[in-house]
Amino acid sequence: MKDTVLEVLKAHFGDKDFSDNVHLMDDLGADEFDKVEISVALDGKLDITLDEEKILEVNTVGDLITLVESHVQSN
Amino acid sequence: MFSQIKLILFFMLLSGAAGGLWYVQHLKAENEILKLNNEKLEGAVESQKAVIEQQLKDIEDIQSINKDLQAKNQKLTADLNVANEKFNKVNASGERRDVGALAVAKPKSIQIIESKREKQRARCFEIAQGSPLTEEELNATKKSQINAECPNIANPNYTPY
Repeated sequence: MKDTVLEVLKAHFGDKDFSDNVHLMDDLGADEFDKVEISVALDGKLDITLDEEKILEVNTVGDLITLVESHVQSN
Repeated sequence: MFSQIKLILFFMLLSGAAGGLWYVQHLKAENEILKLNNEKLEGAVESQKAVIEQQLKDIEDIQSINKDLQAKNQKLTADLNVANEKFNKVNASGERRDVGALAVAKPKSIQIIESKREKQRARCFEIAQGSPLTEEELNATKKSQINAECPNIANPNYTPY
């Protein structure tokens, strides 16, 4: 699961540090639309539908991994 | 004969003195007129000086306003580029952002983003019209803290990523 998230992040941002505490906006330069793009990519890769509000509340790489994992576990 | 010559000389002297007196009086009258004209001219020069000083001050004010407007225009142009970026951003894989496709795939997310951005745009207009920046706007140094629609005018301490 985590590998898929990191794979999507790498495809989107390139070779960067994706430690759990890395901030998507402050460290990787993402904007809210990037979060939606990542969400769409993860939906496609994992055959899931991430919550549209929760994805916008994600701040760090760790938050994103947690969101995806909790979504998969709850379904 | 001699007394006649003396009489003629006397009248000549008398008429010369009268002419001289008239000439001096005439000069005095002209001098008074010239003095009055000079005073009027000095008054006119003073008022012209005041007008010129005011014009110079106006020119300085206009130049200052023009400089401010140019600076603001540069910032607004930079912000326009920032706003355009959200529609044309290319990711590390070379894929160009398609906001339309995102709106179809995740309509609620895009609605939330646009609602937030709409508020930020309204704030941009307020700032452009002279509204002072808040402490929060002044202290924003991270991308997650800025007004994404016009960081150049709303967040002067933010350095773009």
